[in-house]
Amino acid sequence: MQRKAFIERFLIQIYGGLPSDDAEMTYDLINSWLPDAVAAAAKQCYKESIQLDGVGYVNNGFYSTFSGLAISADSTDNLCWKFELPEIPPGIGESMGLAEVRFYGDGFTSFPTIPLSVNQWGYFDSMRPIANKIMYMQEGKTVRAKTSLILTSYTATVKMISGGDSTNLDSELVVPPDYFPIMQEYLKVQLGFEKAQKPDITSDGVDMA
Amino acid sequence: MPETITVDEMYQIERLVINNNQNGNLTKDKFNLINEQAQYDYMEFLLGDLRRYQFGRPIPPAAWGMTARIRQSLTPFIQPPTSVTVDPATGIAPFPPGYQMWDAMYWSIYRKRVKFIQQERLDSHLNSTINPISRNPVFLSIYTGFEVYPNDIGAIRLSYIRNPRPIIWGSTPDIYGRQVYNPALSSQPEWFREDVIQIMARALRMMGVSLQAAQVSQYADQIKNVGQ
Repeated sequence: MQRKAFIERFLIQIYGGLPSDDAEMTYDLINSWLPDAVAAAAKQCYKESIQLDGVGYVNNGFYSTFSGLAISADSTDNLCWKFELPEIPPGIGESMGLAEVRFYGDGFTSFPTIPLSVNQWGYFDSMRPIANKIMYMQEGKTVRAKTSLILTSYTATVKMISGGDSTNLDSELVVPPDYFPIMQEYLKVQLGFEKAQKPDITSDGVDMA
Repeated sequence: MPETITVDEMYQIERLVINNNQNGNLTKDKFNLINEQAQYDYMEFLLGDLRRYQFGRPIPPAAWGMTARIRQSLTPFIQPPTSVTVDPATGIAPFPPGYQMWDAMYWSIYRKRVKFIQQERLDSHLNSTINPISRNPVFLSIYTGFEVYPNDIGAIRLSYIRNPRPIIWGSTPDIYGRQVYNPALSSQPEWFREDVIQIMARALRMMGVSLQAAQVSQYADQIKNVGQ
C-alpha cells in the first residue's frame, strides 16, 4: 500500500470521515509516527516467529534495499570506513534490523560482509585478519567497516527493516499487509491519546493543557 | 438565480404590518436604513453570532458551515476560490473587495489548505520540525487582510463570503408628490425568499423598538423564534 494511502485511511478513521481544514493531524505528523509503528509490527513478527517456529526471524516483507550510500574514512579507528544509514533500523535481535551490507564498485557487488557486535569489534582487532572478509558494526545510524581496501571509491548497499522511503509519501509502505492491523492499533493508541487531550484555547499565560 | 422577492414586495409587506397596527408610516429612508442593518444582523447570525457563545464552548447554536441549510442561505455571497497575491516581504494578502468572512484558503496547484491559526500558535507552527511551515502554511487574520506564513508563498486562493448588495427601495414622485416604486433606482435583495422573511422580521423588530410599538416587536419576535 502507498504510504499516503495508509495515512489517509488512518486519518479518515480517527476523524470519522475526511478531515476538515482545521484538522491538527497532518500527513507529516502521522508519517513521523510510522517508523515507530513499523518497528512495533516487526517486533511482533519476530516474537510470533519464536512462538510458532521456535526460530527468531523477521519476515522478508519488512526489508528494503538501499544502495549508493557514500563511504568516507573513519578517523576513529585504524583501516576503518564508515557510511550513514537512511535511518536507524529497529533494534530487533542482534542484527535483525540491518540484515545485510555489501559494497559496490566497478560494476561488481561484494559478498555480504560480516556483522560484529560492539564487544566482538574490540576482540576482532586483536585477531589475525580473515582473508577476503570485511567486518562491519552498526552504531546507531552509522555503519563502520574494517578492511585494508580503500572503500571510499565504493558505495554501500544495505538490506534493512525500514518501512520504505519515509521522505516520499507516494512510495510503497514496506510492511506485509497482515501486519497493518498491528500498526493501526499502535497509531490509534498514540494519536487517539493526542486527540483526547484538551487543547489550551486561551492565551493567558497559564498552561491549561 | 435563487427564488427571492423584490424590494418593493418587502416594502409593501413591512408597511402593511406597521400600518395595520396604526403605528405610523414607513418612509423610504427609514425602510432602506433599517433593512440594510437587518440584513447584516441576519448575516451575523448565520456566520455565528458572538452573543450566543458560551463559556468554554465558542460554538453558537447556528454558525457558518454547521449545516448545509445555513451554507445554502449564504451561497449567493460565497465567492469561488480567487487568486490573491501575497506580499513576499510582509506575507500580507489584502482582503478582496467586498470581503466579509473567509471560507477556505488554498495554495499550490493541488489546492492544499492554508490553515487558520491564532497568534499564540504561530511560534509552534513556524518552528515545527515535523510539520515544516514550507509544506504546512498557515495564516493569521489581521485588520487589513491575512498574514500568511511562509511569507514567500506567492499567491493563495481564497474562497470567501462577500458583503450583500444594499437593499434599496428606490422611488420617484408622481404628479401628486407621492413616492412610486422605481425598479431602476432600486437595489434588489440577493437572499433566498425564506431568508428575506428573516430579514424583514429583524427589520420589523427594530422598527417596533423605534416606534415603541410592542405588538410589532412581538410579531417580529414570533416570526424569528417560533417560525410563522
